[in-house]
Amino acid sequence: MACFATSCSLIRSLSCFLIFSFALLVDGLDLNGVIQWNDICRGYRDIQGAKVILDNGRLSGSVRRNGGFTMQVASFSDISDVHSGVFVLSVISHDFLFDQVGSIQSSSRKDASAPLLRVDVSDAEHNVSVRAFSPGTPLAAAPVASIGYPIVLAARARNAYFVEREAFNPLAMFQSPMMLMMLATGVMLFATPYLMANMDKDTLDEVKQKQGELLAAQSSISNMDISSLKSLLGGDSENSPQSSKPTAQTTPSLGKGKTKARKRMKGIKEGVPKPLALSKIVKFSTWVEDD
Amino acid sequence: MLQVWAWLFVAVLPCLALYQTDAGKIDWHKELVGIPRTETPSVAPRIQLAAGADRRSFIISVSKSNVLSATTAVNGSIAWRYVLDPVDVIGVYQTNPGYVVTLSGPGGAYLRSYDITSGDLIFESRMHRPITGRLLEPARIGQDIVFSVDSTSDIFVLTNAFTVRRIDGLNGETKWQWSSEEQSSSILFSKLISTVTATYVVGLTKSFRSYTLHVVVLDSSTGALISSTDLSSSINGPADFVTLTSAKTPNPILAWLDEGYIKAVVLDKDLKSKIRSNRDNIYEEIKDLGVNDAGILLALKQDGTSHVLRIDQEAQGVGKIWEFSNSALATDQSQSIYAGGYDRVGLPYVARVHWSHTMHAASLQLFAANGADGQGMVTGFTFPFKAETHGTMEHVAIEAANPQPYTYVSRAVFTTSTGAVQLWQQENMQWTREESLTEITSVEFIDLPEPKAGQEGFSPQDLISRLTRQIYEAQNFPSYAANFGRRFLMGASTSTVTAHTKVSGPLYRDPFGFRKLLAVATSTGKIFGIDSANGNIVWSKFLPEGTYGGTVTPIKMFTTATVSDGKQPEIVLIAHRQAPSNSKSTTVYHFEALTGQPLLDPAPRELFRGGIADAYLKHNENKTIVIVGEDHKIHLYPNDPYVQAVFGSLAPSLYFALETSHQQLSGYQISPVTTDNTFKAFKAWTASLDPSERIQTIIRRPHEPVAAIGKILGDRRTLYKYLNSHLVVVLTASINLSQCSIYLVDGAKGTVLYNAAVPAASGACNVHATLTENWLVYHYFDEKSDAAKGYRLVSVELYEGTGVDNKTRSTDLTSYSYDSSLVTVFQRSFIYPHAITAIATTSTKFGISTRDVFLLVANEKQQIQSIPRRLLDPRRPKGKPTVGEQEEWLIQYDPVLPDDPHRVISHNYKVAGVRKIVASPASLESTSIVLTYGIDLFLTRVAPSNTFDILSENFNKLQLVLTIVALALGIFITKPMVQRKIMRQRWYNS
Repeated sequence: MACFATSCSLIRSLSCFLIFSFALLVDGLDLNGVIQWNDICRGYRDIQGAKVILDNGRLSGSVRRNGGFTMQVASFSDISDVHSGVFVLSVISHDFLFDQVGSIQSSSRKDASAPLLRVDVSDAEHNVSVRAFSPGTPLAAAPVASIGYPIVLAARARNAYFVEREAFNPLAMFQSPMMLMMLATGVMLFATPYLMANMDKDTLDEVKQKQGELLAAQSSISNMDISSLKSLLGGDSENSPQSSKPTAQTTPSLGKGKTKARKRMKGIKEGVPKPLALSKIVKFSTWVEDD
Repeated sequence: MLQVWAWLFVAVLPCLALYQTDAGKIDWHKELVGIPRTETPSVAPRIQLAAGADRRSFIISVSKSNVLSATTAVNGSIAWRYVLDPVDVIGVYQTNPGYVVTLSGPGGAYLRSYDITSGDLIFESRMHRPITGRLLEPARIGQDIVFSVDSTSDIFVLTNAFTVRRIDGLNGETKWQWSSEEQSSSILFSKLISTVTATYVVGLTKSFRSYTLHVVVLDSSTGALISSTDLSSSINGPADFVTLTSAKTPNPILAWLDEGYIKAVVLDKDLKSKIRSNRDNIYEEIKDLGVNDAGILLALKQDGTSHVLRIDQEAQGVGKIWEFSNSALATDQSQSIYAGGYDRVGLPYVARVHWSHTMHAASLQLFAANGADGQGMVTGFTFPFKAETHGTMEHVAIEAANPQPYTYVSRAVFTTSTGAVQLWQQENMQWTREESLTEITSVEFIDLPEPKAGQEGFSPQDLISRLTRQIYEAQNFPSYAANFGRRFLMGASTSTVTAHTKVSGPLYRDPFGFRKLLAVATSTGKIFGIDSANGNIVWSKFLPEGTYGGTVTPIKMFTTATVSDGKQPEIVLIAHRQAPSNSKSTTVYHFEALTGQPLLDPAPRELFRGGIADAYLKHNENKTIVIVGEDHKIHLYPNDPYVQAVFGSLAPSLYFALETSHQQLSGYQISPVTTDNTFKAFKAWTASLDPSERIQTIIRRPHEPVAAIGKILGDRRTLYKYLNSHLVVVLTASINLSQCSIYLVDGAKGTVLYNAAVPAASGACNVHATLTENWLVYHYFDEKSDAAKGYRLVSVELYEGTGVDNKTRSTDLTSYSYDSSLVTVFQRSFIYPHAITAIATTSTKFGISTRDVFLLVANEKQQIQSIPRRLLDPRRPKGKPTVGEQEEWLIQYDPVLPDDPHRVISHNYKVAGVRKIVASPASLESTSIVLTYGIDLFLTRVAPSNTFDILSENFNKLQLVLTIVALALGIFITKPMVQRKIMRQRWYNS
């Protein structure tokens, strides 16, 4: 026993490169690995104190400064010291999620669960094979193809613990649909008189009439009478029997509206009360909005 | 539509995460390393000067919490630390200016080397299977580490008392290994000395009455056995021999205490040197002070007089070089403690420290062995060590400096019996670390009183003084106005109390009750008042005041008066007091919570002899504490005739469950003892647990407000919660550790309401559970399962009766009603990705937010994670949720719980070794204050259902103000336009 074999593990520190190797030592079977540094996890300082464990920590290996870790899976000098079976390998690190380099993440839960590896230790052949494993899937089922070595583990993501606070952004404020609608209304407020001025007489008449109806409907709402409103919503005010027989309350206002419209036409011809007509349009548009 | 909303809700869940700006404001984290172990020199703290340009000194310590750490000597900050597994106990460590090397686990199964300045793990090697490690008595025997003295960075390691290895210090590879021929022989090797050519292994052979020394010589470069011999010696144990090396001699010297005389032998390859005996003095004890590299050891005579001995001039033996004056044991001073250390050029020093009862101060004598031109020189000073708050000094480690000839400056690190670590530079204290906070036994959250209005005292003043005061105060107006403007525009709601809040004057609560006082009792007998806003210690008290040598172990703590009762808050501590001569007694301490002032006179009140089985606080109007002694006698505190009368009337209806001496669960009933007007508990029942099982933990349902007694289903029917205040969770392990069980037991009559058996993982039952209202959650590792190996989180809910709409009024039902055993159980098992160390639920003021009780777990990654109640609902449907289920916001069952980093409420903090999580309600219903303790302390606020009762920090006050201004402007512009229009309208219409 005076002679002790130096470790002949295949592991070489290939400049921060991870190799899983299953070196057949004289005294036992080792599970070795090195963590590859990348842009997410730049070096040992980021993961100081990290460990790699099998199952619930029945075997564990601390990550060394060079990124490597070692676990003795089996000892040949001691027959009882063989951990054969299927194990789940996970990396215990506070800030990072680790993944094998080159593997396609089979889990659809990309960010939800930590990726794991399953390690099959065969007692008879004294070898180890490593496969991808998704949490919650059966271990006993026929395993997916073994991942050839060297298998490279690297940080896939750094845990994001915080959410961004929404800062005050006037541009974002004006991008909201409500603001856009308000803006559109505002633009219409100023644009309509010019549009109306450019309309031909027939269209103008039609618009005026609609406005008159709307006005009437509004006044009828204020008088708690919905019948005229119904007709308005029906969109067919002239042919509707209800609107042709308006109630006593609505009739005067309706008539008034018509006279108003007539008077207004007169006004337009004279080229004076543009703002007046405008206000009706505004009311019209707000009405449509409320609907 | 509803389903869309339900999924939207799930999508929104992660939004409960922290904002970066809140981190460190609403939470704090205190990194601790644990009370240093001082029982053997091989693990005791020492000061090591690190190599490197800045020549920093580190205090290396191994703690009772099994943390290896390096503390910067200058400021007391933790440079690095490693939290090792509880089974991986460090047996010996060795330092040099570059590395810290440890042997841990049974027999020294693992060898690890760390960089001393950065804490980087250089290598980790397994020396042998932990299970084959020999458990030796005393524990310090059988393991040793020495650094090679040649140019290599190799390490010589002795493990398991028979194997020696030479190991490459850079990669941990074994260069050679030697094992003793007969591994089961009676020789226990326990010490290594290495020279360039030979490595000496010193062992002990057990003979009839004493031990005999045995030395083996190995070739340092090949490990080949050169010689092996027994030394004619008779020593009492492994502490009675010391190996010494010195620059003066190439050969080391082995010195031992043989029937009162110090004998020494020079070790060489053939071990033929003559044993020399020093017959000048008869000694009682010899001590290795860690300066044996300079050939120095300390010997104590029977009367306590201490001598410093050193390798003599001929390098053949040891001789006395100094006697510490007045070091003999005396009644007016404590026993001396000694330490050895080096200065920056490597010259050795020995320090003696003792406490003087008459002067109420400690004094340190520093012996410079090479001082005064090699004659040796002593300097000394007294320093104001506070024994009344820090207890006795248990260990000291020193470092010295020699700034100019005949001037010696010392830096001493003390470990005290209260678990404090202090650094004194000469007579000035530099810093204190209260490491006893790693040994917390109980915590109470104390509500603070509201600030009194006008507390500055607006007494009637004359005009001139009032004017001067107002003019004086007017100078603060600009900052006040600026503050007001900022508050008006930005809003400052939740950040009212931050970790930066200064502690000045009396403690007052903030508007939302976030700030509380934590009353903390530790197993060292020290209690603390801690400000929850920033973790600062407000007051501390060492309980065994005046009783030197006695220990006080706090068992339970209760808040007996609160601010809401209209009183100053008070706490009562029930503790076991053990005086050196007496047997154990149960003692009550009563404190004012805000100041720590004792309210009892004389301070501790001994209730009875013997220990306690349990203690409860009856939440009635006089807050009586019911203490059950080990003899099942009932003791009350406070104990006046009125309280006795009230308790007497209640007693027949009181039942409680206790763990019996055979680790089974029994129920007790209280009856008055007519003879002496006291009460006694009688066994009423024994729970029908499997007799092969032993109780590990009992968890009681917390005393908490319940907002809703039922759950309205989608079809307008109701499931009534089973709310039995006697409900207890019992976690058991079978004797052969093959199976663990979880029981829910009615603590009043012993009925088992729920029972589950889970496999034991690797021969240990490591089940964690929490119980609130009608909800039980437990966590275990399932390795037997063929389906999917991993951690399971099981959520169980109990509802009344046989199902929906079956109301049995479990809250006010008598325990003996048959209906109280009728329960409907819902359960679901989930896959949780991590091992956990603690589990708890949040608690809020009225329990309304419990609709979204968060589960808080501390996992192996040193994170505190919250899990929303909704994800753990045991009624989550397996198929697509029906309309009714959607209305209840139930989402489809998915066994895998997402591991979302947004739910890590401890964010970047590494919260190590959490043993317990406690939650306390704030004044706001939405918010719960969460404290975790174990090794580190961590406190934060969580809002399980979001802060619905407070304006969100997200609320954009500036936007609101701007919108109002814009609208006002709009009105201002359009008003004349509208007026003009109305006028025209009237003009044309009328």
